[in-house]
Amino acid sequence: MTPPPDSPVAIVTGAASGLGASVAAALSTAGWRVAGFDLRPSDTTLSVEVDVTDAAALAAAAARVARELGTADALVTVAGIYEELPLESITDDRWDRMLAVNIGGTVNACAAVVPQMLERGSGAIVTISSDLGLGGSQGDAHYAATKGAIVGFSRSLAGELEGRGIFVNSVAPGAADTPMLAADSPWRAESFLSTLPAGRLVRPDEIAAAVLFFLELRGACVGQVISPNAGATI
Amino acid sequence: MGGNGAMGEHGASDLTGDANAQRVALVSLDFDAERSAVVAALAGAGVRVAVLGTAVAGSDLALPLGDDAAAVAAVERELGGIDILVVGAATPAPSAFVDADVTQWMTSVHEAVSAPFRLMRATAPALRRAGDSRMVLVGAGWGAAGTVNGTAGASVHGALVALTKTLARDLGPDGVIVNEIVVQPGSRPDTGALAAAVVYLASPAGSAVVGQVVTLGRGGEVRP
Repeated sequence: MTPPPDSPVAIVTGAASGLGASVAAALSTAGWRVAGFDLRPSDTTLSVEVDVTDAAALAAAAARVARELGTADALVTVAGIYEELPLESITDDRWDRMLAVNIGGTVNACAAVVPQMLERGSGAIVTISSDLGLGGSQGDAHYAATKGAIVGFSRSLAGELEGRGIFVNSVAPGAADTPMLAADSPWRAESFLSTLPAGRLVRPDEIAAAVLFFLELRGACVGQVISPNAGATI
Repeated sequence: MGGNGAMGEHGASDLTGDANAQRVALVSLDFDAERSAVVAALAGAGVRVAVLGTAVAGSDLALPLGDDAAAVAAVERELGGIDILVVGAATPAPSAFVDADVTQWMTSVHEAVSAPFRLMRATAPALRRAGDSRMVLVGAGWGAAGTVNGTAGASVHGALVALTKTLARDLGPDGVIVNEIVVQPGSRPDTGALAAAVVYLASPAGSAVVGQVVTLGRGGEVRP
């Protein structure tokens, strides 16, 4: 079903695969027109191939969305990378790359879209952080640091923008059954899953549901975090 | 939001699932407006609802307060089981700790913590039998610690956060998912938001949210 041309517009970064694709699909099903920002084409109303670490390119992409679909009503920042490494194996290059994609990609997207939302005086932003950003975990130092940064950024931005009609919240998923989680990841091992109260990985559609929950509340939550994590971080 | 309403106000989900196995909720909330909103939202999502206290629009069964075991038995008998428990918590009135009578202080805390605990304990066997079930506590969370002269309230709600998280671990393997919705003191949102949060946590899409504190309004702890 193609949403009608006057339906609300959401920009989703990382929309080509995994969690981003699930979020984009859930929004589309709920009646949104979705602009998907990704390095690769996405199955969205408007697919824009763009690198989230490139602030200027993201600004141009957001301007294109405004021209072709209208000002974004919502931004969901999903684009991110994950790798598990002990501290001594996190080289400068790996550290820089993790920060550039996860923090930079989130901040760049917000910087590109917030001016449009401010001009209109309304909007909603949901960032994707991680339960590792709340609780940390062995071997996840650089990833967890970026996700903790996203939580702090989101809560601070929420305070900065709430009086101007823009509401920012964050979804902090636990280990999810997406391509980001390697087939041999310890998070997929029964020895880990058996420790979870829910006893399983989180499904991408459950994370998308948390995103939709925040978007549908239209400002009843400001700077809050929901963590669908199967009980991994309680 | 500048949307055109395509998502619906607070977008209620359909919780009916298998049409042959309609879900049943037991709702115990002191505030009339919250009870009415939550019951209406659950009923709108296809859930049969029993309430403790006076009946409200949308409720299928109203049961007297004071005997949790009898109420749980009545719901199971009349509606066939319990899949969802929504239970609120009272907050003792603020008072300066140094001026308080410690016995009264302790009594107020004990009562406020024990009321939801007793209902959760009484309902747990039914929720275990139902499987894929939910406990949703509605409280004030750690934000209660920010209330002036609020030692009693902060003690109550701190206890309930810990109770929620501990029960989530204890009951999760039995298929009972436990979470808390926190309404921040001083930023009480519309009751529709509370109702939407209950429906979300009770829905299949909310089943990966385990042992979490979903905070409405602004502020509160970083860690949910």
